[in-house]
Amino acid sequence: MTQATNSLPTSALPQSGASGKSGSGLQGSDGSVEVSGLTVSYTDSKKRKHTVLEDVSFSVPSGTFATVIGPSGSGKSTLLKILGGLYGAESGQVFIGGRQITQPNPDLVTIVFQDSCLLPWRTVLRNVALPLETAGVGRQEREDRAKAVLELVGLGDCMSRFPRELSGGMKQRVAIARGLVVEPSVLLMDEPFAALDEQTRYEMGEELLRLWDRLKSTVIFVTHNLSEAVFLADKVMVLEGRPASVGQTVDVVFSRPRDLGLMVTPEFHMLRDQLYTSLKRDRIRSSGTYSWSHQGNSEEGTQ
Amino acid sequence: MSLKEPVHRAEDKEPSSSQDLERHTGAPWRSLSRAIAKKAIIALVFLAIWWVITGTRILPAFAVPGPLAVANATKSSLHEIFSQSLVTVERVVIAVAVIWFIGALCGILVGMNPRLWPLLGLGRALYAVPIVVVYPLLGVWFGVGATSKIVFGIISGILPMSLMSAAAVRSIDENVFLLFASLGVSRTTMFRRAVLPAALPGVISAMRLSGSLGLVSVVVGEMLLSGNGIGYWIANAGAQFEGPSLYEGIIVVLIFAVLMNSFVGFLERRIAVAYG
Repeated sequence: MTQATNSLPTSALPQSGASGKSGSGLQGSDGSVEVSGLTVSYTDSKKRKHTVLEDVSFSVPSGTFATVIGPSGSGKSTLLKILGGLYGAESGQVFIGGRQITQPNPDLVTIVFQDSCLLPWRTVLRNVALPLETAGVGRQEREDRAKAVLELVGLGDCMSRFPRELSGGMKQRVAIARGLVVEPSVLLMDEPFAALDEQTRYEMGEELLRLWDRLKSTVIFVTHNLSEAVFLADKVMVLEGRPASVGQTVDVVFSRPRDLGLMVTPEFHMLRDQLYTSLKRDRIRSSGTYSWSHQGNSEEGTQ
Repeated sequence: MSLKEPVHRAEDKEPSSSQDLERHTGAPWRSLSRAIAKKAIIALVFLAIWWVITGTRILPAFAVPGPLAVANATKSSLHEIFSQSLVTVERVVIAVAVIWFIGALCGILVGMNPRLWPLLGLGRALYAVPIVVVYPLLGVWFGVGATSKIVFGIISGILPMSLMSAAAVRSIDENVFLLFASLGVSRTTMFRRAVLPAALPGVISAMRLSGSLGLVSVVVGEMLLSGNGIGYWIANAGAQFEGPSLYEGIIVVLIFAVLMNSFVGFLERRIAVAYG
């Protein structure tokens, strides 16, 4: 049998590097996310089957900032882990940049976890360099690239510190830097600011937008905070029902760059309230797409 | 846009981790000598108290001989106690080496494989059995020589070593595994870069505890059934009411314990520096 040898997951790395795909978030379809008919269930210890996600379909164009909201336990994190190739789905498909996702693709998709998940025995610099290290990048290059991205998140002077010496917000910045260091086409973020106090949370959101504006990778950001979801997103997707599926999809057309002033405008509150109402009607599944159409007002609000 | 653009690397004076490592490699030796100095001070204080207590003759001299009497006894029996100590050292080193290596290996293996976790319950149940009761059996099987002591030491230490190492692996944050899985690493990389460093503090405590259990068991083995070794020396001196000799033996065992503890501490700092 002349079948290709079983390759390790990491073998995908040099290939994509050779074809010049890495760090090309700007290129047309590289960071597009297509999810169709995704159904996920798990079997608990008593052998009962629970369906978490049912027939979830959506598409996120390359370079879009999409947020996913839904109540606790609605399967938001599960969805993200499937997009990251960590879990398999029962049925349905995920395509990222035209590649079907069946396993982790660390050069294409990276995940920022809810708790920063830094390795306590590594310095900040070596934490950020970890994805490059596992991808086989040479020492000098990975240190240079890690330093560059740490400068970018404003932690240029904390590189030789250890995670325990950092505040919660700084840890999350390091985690984001680690997510960005491979210059992924898609950045998945699982409630990254949930453990932070409210002020830090919104400041981090603002900063994340600044970073994203530079890098233009696709971001899929899971949160249960409505204001955060609306403030950050081009597109808000609501996970509704049990098992969950994508209910409303709202395009948020407030102009960019956005600052926190946006959050006190009436338009912002209208949109937020609308999403809140839809979450309250959780059991009534409202499928279809609703587009926010007050473009003129929103532009006014942010200027 | 590349991430590298906004950096001005020329004036970057941040020390690289390799430099960091170089700067710290002297540290474990320094801290080892500092630890020894600390222990020497404790020993001196202990000696002083001992001197005062025996000097006042509160306790009869045959029960608590003064330090001078012990020193005199040591001077005349130096050669013999040294050779008896060496016998024990050899047994302890073999037993503890096996406990540490095999125990850590088994523990980490079980900790990493949820299917083997039921073994931990069995291990805990076995650990509750006072192992000294099987020692006469070991004497029958392996004779009165070194083997029965070494096997006894291994049996006493290997269970806690394995159980604690397994616990150290199991207590690793699930998210660390998720992180490494999302990086698409092989199992070997996961083991080297995540499991080992994360479990290390727990494994070191396991070494501390199981090492001293191994030492105790070898000495107890020598006390119960043996013709040589420091345990035999102590048992013999006790039976013949030779106070000074008895104390000599006790002090030697104390020194063993202190040395082993220092070694584990040294290893701990050494590894901490390597992973820093």
